[in-house]
Amino acid sequence: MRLRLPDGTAVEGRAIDLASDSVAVDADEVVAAIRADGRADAPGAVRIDCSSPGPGHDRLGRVPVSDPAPSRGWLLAAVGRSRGRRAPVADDLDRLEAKLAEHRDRAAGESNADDPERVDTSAAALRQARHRVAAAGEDESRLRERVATLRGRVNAHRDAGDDEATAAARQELVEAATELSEVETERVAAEQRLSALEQASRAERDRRDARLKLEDAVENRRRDARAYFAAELGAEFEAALRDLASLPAAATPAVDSPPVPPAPESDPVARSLAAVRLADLSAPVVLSCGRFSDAEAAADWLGAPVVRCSPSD
Amino acid sequence: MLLVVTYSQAARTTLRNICRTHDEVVVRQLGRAALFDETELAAFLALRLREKHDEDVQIEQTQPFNEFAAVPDAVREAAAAYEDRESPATPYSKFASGTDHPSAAEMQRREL
Repeated sequence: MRLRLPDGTAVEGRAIDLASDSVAVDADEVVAAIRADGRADAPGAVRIDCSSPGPGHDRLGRVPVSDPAPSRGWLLAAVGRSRGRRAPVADDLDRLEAKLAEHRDRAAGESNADDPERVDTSAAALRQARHRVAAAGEDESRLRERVATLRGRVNAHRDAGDDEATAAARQELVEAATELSEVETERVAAEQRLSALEQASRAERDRRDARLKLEDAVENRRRDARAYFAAELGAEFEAALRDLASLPAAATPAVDSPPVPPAPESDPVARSLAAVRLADLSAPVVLSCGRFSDAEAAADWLGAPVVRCSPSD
Repeated sequence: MLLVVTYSQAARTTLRNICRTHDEVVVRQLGRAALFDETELAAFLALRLREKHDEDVQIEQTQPFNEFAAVPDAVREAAAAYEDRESPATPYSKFASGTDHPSAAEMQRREL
């Protein structure tokens, strides 16, 4: 591979060491350059000519890896992919993932659409609809009571023979009864609206339920795939870890590395390195960990081209 | 809606079979339980399940919850205020003391 630094200097070789240089090149920049795939790059950026990153490079192309606590299964699944291996559940997984992506696209499309026909099934809209039903119901029962009271008063005045009071009470009764029938209409309308909203939100929940089930199924297949690769590659992985532990200590330890290195099987960096060693990677691996004495030693042990950067903080 | 809950392996299997063959009445299936539409067919299926598995089957009739009709303002406001609290670690008892919000014990005593 051939790497051109921002200042124009070019470096060539299977193992490139940028850690000792005064040039401050960030591991992220190098990774971006590897994945840029020959696209036009910004002037002053790192440029790299190398094999294009194949399967598995997305996870193993840099150590420390992007996952802060990579599990064995996660790493070994990437190793398996880099070797062109497929788990028995892979076809099933592809199919489910495609279906899930379709679901998500549809959901995104629906929420963006400014469709006037679309029913707003947000929690706020439902809450408002419930509030209207409750308020209309309260008004209705209040008015119903008032109508009953007024009816009693009309009868009482009439029985007492007080025509004037009877007429006044009757007038009030007519007004209250009119108001009651209006409120009744309103309550019925509010109830209909709420039930329409509930129907719509039920459909929305059906879609969410289906999506959750798909997500679970995808997660299960992924777990199966990880378990498969962990079983297939486990012995090789343990051997690589043991071999790594037997290497002489690094010349330039990471600034923040503890005085006693953690046991290799619990050290995420060691696990990632062991996985890289097992993987079949033709594109360079970017190291920003101080485990090897130089890039050459790293490339030899990992069996992959290496660009070594200063440990990032 | 009808809430059907099963309490045995066998009842659960029958419930699943019903849900598979009559998905038109199933509103939601939740593990050992299912929500059915409020139709005669749903009631028929629920009752058949009960006939077959007896006490392993619980059937409840549910209704939509309208907090504005069923719940006093104070309770609704307390819930909103507590979820909006500044410090997530404050327990409700501490949050409510010295305010107008009802205590958990008071709410426990009062039925809706």
